[in-house]
Amino acid sequence: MSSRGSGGRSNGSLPQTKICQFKLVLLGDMAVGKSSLVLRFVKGQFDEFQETTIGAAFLAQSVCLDDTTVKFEIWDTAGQERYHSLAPMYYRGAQAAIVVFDITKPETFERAKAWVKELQRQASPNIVIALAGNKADLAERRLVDFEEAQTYAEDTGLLFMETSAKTAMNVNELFLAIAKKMPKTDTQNPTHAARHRGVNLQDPDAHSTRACCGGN
Amino acid sequence: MEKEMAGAFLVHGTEDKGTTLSVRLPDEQEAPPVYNLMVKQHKTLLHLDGSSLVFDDIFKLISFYCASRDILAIPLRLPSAITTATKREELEVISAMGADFWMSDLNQPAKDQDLALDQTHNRLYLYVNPVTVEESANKDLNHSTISKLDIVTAQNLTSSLQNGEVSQKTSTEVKGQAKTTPTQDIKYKRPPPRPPSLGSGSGMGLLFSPPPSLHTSPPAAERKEEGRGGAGEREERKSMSTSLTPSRPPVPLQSRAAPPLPPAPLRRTSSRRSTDREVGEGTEREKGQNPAKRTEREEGGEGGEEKMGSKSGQLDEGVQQQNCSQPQESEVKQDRGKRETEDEKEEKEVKMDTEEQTQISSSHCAPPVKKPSRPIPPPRKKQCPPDAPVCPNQAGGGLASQTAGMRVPPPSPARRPDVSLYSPQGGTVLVTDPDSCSTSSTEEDGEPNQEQEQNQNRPAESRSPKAAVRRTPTTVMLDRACYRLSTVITGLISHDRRLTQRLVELARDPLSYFGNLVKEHRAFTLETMLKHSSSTELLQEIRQMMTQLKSYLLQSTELRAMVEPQHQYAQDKLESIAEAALCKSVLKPLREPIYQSLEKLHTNDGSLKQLAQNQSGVLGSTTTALGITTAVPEASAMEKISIKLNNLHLEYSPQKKIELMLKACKLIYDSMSVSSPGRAHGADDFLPVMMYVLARSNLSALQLDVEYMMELMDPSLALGEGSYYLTTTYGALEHIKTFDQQRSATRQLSREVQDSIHRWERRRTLNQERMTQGSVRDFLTVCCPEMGGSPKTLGVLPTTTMQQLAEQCAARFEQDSYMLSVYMDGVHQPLAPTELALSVKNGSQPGAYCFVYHPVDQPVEQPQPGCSCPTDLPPDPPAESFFPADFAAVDTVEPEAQEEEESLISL
Repeated sequence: MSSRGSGGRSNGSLPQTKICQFKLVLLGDMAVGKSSLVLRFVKGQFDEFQETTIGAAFLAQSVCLDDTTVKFEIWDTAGQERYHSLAPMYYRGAQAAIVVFDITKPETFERAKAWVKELQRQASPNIVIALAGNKADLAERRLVDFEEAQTYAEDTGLLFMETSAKTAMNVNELFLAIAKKMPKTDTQNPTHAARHRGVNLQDPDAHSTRACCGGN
Repeated sequence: MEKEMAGAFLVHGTEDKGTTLSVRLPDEQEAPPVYNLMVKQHKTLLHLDGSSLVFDDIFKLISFYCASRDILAIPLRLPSAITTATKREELEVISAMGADFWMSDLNQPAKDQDLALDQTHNRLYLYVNPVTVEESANKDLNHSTISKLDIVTAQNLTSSLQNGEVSQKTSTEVKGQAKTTPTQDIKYKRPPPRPPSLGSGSGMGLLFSPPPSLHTSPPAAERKEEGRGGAGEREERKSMSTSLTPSRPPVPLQSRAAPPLPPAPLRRTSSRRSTDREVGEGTEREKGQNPAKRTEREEGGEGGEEKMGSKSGQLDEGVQQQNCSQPQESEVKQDRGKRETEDEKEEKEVKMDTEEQTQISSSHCAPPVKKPSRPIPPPRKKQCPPDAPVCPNQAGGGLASQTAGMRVPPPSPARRPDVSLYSPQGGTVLVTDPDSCSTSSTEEDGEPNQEQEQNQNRPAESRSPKAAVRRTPTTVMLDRACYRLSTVITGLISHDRRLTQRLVELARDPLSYFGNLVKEHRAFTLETMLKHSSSTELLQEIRQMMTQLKSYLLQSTELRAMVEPQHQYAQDKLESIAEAALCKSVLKPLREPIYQSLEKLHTNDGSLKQLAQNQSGVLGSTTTALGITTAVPEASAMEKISIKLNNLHLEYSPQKKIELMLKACKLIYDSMSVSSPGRAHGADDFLPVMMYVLARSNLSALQLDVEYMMELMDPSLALGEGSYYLTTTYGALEHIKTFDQQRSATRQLSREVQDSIHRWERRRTLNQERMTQGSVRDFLTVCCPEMGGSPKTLGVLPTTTMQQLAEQCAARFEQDSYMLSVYMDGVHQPLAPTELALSVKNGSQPGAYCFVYHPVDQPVEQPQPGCSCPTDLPPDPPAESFFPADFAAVDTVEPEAQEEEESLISL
């Protein structure tokens, strides 16, 4: 038991690889493409790092980064204003957040700024926030300046990229950039994690993925 | 029989004639008051002579005929003692009485109970011996055999009592004897009647069942004695056993292994039956039970009836459900088609079990089984020899379970029975029974089965026994073909199931240290449940208790001893098995009270009312107002979802609840895709539809369920997706609570609510850490020679001082004028009241100290025998595997020494 909870090197299926697991929350107005973005990311990855989930509101995906495997548990949130008050339940305890807006809809950018503000005020202090200007494939209809968004991001200390879930532009890059920014200290080897947490990998019903282990 | 009321019945059997069902007919009838009807067997199915209804086993048959008379003049009637029993304990008592039961006061109302028990026994045989069924659960037999059994029991008891390694040895010997000697004797006489207790099977009895009949019986006897005796008796037994042991030279393992000794010839003929029986008894029982259990699982929903099949305890339930089931008879017929399918599966499983056993045994057994053409699983005895030394006997339960363990092959015989027995809340168990998942076959078919059950049974709430299905030869054939395939899979999974079952049984064994802990924890929880002012607090208390118990269990030698040597588990696997076992032994019985308390709390704080009020508001909202842009579930989908949610509500295991919740969510996704196939839906789409669905569900139940899941979920289990959807469900409920119809939106959720999930996660993390540290709570055993009786185990925190411990002792021994002393190597050890109790425990050498609670003016010279201080235990064997040996010593002391130490302390 004493070995429990120790982070570390895996000696399981991914030998030599450190595995970090993070909870990432998606915020943004309705229909800005939050889930499309994630789906693009997830679908573009190797299946072996993908976990089947019952729906797209929760997805799990791992990416390899040098000697580290970063596993994201991606929590989508409903963008409707009426469900805004539920958001804290999702982002509390998250180690990363992607705030998405639609470059063709300025109001979504404003909303994104509000999210960022809220996150910086209420989420974990160390949360890594990325701003994604989605629908970059619709550049001809752009209403949010790239520079404006970038400036904002720099001022606020955010990662920023314009993305297109449709063309996959910058999608993986965005997640990789986040993965690189994540502290790799509170990592947990999934085999350990699984062991420690008693996840029953055989259980077809559970579909359970390991929850984020640190940072709460 | 004649004294009994109409409807009273007896199942009995003779070797030549097979099984007979005797029914007491109403007095009006001119005919003889007792009507005898043969129970015929066709392959593995049973039916009453003249009836076309077939059953998997006698239990089902009986349960069916309790509800429906079919060809009988009147429906069967269970003894009122059984039908009125509400607790497992009561049934245990009944079962423990065995034949004596008939004459007991309990019996007064209905002597039939015994019959029921007998049936149980018989039934087991029936199942096993496809050939001639010999039911001989006759009273006479019982009596005759009992004496012998008692001896065996005593021996076993001894070992179990001591729980030490040494005792283990003894027990091993005993076992040997038991197996050989008594068995043989009995053989010639007749098939050993099932030990009385087994039938009604306290969980314990069942435990024992796996081993050959003799083994089984001992426990039963034990039980009996216990009921009457008590601590004093134990001691007697001890001495008895001790004396016995030496007197009888241990039989060589080999001899044990070899089935019946010399009288081989006899065997073949008439004796053979008996032999088979004896040998296979354990197996047979298992089988008998297995089917029952299986059925139970599959039919889960009904619970009652099927369960009846497996035990008297279940009979009880069955009876209760009788009312419902009767009207449904017709339904049953209608459902036959469907059922047949189910049945097939069932049968398959059953067969699988059988086969598995057979296979295993054959593979394991060096000496070929004497039984020639019989597919009957060879006596497990064979396997025992090798394993026997390995398994230490522990508490009574432990012993049994271990024994069972030793015989590797048979899929936890014990567990089946136990399930049935143990399910006082039968109704709630249903499909969700943890065990059900463990069966490979079950798993494979799990979904469909469940669906079926849910769809068909659940709504109905009750059903006629599935057994009532008619099987065509074809299906039977199919079954055969299939079961071979599944056997392999079953084999793999059965280990886990078996272990889980053994743990459950251990937890139920009041004689075992762990069982006692569980019992006390449970009692304590029930007691304090109403005192909590918040639901979170209440649930957390329970979760902590479970975590502590699990922590103890995982470090215990009991668990280690149970793990079959040839099947080692990874730590995580063990943890999940322990968790499942604890859910079953702790949460299952507590589920009902927990829900009642939660409901009360939420009624008082008005949240249920608020929820109900706002539900109608949400219900009245348009889909647009809810933010829905996709299809919403059609009526049929809604029906399916609500079945899932209803099952979720009835489930006692938090994990199973979460699985059901995920299934319900999946159904929501599915229905959303109807309008836009192939499109993946994110939270923007999902949450609104979830709101829509929830507004049409039983919100108050769900509210309690969500809390139950969140707080009682194994903290060491990462939820991932489960966590997400739990959060979503919780959020949706909160949203509804604060729904403002004017704005079709939610007023700002309170800060508290917004943070709730985070706090919840923190709690989980904390719990997990505690668990990880293993420092949750330790246990110290204190003896009090003056008070006689057994030493008490007290939970101590790392911060508990001697002073506080003494206060605990005062409460525990109900004697506050005594003082607490610690003896090291027999020498009184003065300690400051502020000294930490655990540091004493951990700081001293193994085996060196003993906590004694004694009168102030009467210092104990030395913890001596007489006080149950383990000092009197045999030195060599680390006697107390029970005790938190490893516990205290999170520090690494080698097991042996530590155990000894523990034995000193704990006893």
